[in-house]
Amino acid sequence: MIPLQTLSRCFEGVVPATVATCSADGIPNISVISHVHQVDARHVALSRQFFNKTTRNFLENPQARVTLWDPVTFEVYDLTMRFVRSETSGPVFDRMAVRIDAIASHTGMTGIFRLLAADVFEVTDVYHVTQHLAPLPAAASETAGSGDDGGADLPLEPASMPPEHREELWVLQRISARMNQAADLGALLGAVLDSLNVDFGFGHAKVLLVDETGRRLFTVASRGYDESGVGSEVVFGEGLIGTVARDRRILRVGQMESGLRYGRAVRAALQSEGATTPEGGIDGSASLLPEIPLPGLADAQSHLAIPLLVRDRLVGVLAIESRAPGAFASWHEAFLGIVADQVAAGIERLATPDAEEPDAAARMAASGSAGSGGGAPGAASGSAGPARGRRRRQLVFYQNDDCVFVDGEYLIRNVPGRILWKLLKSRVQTGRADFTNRELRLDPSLGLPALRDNLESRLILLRQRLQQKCADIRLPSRGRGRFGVEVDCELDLIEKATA
Amino acid sequence: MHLGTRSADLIPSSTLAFGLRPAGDGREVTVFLAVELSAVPLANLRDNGQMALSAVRPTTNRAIQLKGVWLGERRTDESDRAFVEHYRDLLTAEMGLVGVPRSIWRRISWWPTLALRMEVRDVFVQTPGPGAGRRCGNVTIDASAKPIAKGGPSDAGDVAPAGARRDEP
Repeated sequence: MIPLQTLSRCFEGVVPATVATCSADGIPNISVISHVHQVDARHVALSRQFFNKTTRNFLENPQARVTLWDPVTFEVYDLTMRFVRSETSGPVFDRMAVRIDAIASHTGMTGIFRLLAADVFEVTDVYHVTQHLAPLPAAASETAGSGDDGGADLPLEPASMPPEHREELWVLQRISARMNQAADLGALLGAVLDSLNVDFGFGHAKVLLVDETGRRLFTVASRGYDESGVGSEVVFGEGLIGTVARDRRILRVGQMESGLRYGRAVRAALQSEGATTPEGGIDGSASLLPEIPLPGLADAQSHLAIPLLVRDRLVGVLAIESRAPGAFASWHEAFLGIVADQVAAGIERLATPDAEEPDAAARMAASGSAGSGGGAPGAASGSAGPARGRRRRQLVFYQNDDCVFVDGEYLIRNVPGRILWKLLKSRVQTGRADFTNRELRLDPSLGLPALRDNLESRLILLRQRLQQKCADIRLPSRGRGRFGVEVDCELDLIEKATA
Repeated sequence: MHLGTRSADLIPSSTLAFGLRPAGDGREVTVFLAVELSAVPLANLRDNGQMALSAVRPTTNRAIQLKGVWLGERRTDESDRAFVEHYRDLLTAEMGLVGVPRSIWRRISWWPTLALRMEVRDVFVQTPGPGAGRRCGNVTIDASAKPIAKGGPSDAGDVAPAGARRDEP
């Protein structure tokens, strides 16, 4: 039998599969299925969102035939199968459910459209069908899938190429070494995102971390987006990334548009019928919500979102996307899962106050904390460095929501906003140019939680927002647990109660 | 479009079909099947004649399923060839909209083809959602026709929720 492992890209759902069943009294039935999941070397699971004729058929006659399409070659694999069991919980169910939940979330059907069961089948034979295809011209075979007139491109390199043909182990070693050397969170996340781009060609990726509420994520680092998106927020349970955060399970989607089309078809039918079936995969107690735009690339087809977990605690999500369908193979999941575990451990390590250099404050005191950037102590309106000929920038802090605006444009809010305001006031009033993480942690006015305060990630966010919106102010790292405040402009600092 | 058949020992089979053409009195259709892919379905049809045909529009997921019996084959002619060629062009354009490269889709064998005559006995909605599984169309069961099977509610596919209104017996 052809090993199921060699068919990994056929399971991506780029081309919808079909399942044929037959009732006990001999009536065949054929259906398109939204997801075929490879369970192990001899088993697959079909997603069941509705109780249907297919279900009735295999319960009375366990024989079934699934037709899978190779999305690159369009060869067909017919799986002869026998129904084994239905699962409504456990790892296989959870893996499949997160995918359905993500589609439901994006199409505004959270809690309405859901996985009822994962129906597990034993595969007893696999037929490779190629008779339906004319031979590929030699020249065309090198550009298979490139599309001669507008069709979508597919990756030329098979996503299922076995690892021995690649250099993943060396990549893993490089990433591991760079993460191990990272002095701060920014360096660690930068190393990972750069490696995804350079080593894998995944140029659109971001890392989101859990914020203080424990119910939202915020983007702390990204690569490959016109607007870096740093600071953008995702609520747990909303969309692909929010679903991964809520369920703490990896999610890989090979043809997002196909999944959304399926979800939209269900939604349209619901709207036109007004019918609900609580015992089916449609819950009448919930209501339809507006669609949620896709994160990042509007036309991304492939998504891989990996929860960053330390033990069972979620610290963030690594999200990668691609415009190519089926860009992520199953081995990417395993490989990047290892990387994600290391990232999570690194975040934990670098976010721990103990990781800061213990004598940072003492060394700063010895070297003099004021003056590396120059500037005289001043009032709220004042100079933060050599004044002559420099640009003047007005920063306004709104006390009611901790928002900071620069020259009338929104800059940042909440904890990073409070941090920035504290630093700038100190800079302007005392001339201080060097600070420590420790003193920020000890400042009750900033409202940092006692444990897992996300300070490192907030500083990264703050640095990137400054780089985008006000490059005259910088917060360069001075080593672990220390950073500077560099100002190349005249500052007008204004505090207001409300906008 | 996929044709479902089954063997004598109730093993189901699925084959890519290539177009559906009304024929006869309106309850008969012609299903086109590439000769290259016809061995298994033809053997099944010669054994028991049971047919299920699922037609899905890829861009919208709107779908129907036809259930019926095989009436035999007929010769293909130039009008069939023109019909299948037109179907191929429409399908290629439709598949292009969902990301299937035309260069690949055009490799699909579509001729020579078998013209399978099918007597349609049921048509069901198969679009995902609460209406899936419902009978549709004006097809009526001819009481004088040989029963397909005793008491078999046919239906609907991957997408029929329990509790949806059905016109099953």
